[in-house]
Amino acid sequence: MDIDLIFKIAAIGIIVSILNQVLSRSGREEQATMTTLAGLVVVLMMITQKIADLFDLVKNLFGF
Amino acid sequence: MDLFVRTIVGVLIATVLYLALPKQVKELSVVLTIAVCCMVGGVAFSFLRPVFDFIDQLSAISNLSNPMIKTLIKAVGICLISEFASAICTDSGNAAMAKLIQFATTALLLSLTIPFLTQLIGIVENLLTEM
Repeated sequence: MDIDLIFKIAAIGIIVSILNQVLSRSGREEQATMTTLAGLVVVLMMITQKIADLFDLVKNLFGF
Repeated sequence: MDLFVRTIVGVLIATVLYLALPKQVKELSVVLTIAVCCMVGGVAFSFLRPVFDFIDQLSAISNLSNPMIKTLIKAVGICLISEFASAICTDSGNAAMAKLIQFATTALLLSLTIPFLTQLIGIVENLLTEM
């Protein structure tokens, strides 16, 4: 099991949250939203491969 | 056994990290849940591989019809996957999507069983015409 991925996602979450706070306090709400979206897209790109791996495994195992 | 212990420790760490993620990035908490589910699901399914090999051996020994066993195994896989997906949807506060996933699963399982139902009806027809 790849624990690193979990740590990476948590770290990105914390960094995005800090950036969100900083940008919100300095009155840049749009940029804060964009930062949150960018973080979400990065994490989604990271886990897409994992989801594909899981579905491949299930396909092989259950004979779909 | 080592892999199992590592998986459990990983899930515990992920639970703590899930709680540590701030409220502003709730979406990332859901993504973290999906990632952990994918990884733990992969480990759990890999544990199941010898079981399915054993079932294949048993079906070969007992001359059971292979398509029937394959369909049963497929149904188990569909149920497990849909259970994961529906639990993730419920956790993220989207009960409607969870219900729809369950409905889609039920529909797919029904469509899988239609060939066997047709066979059964054929057998019953044959029995009735012979009588």
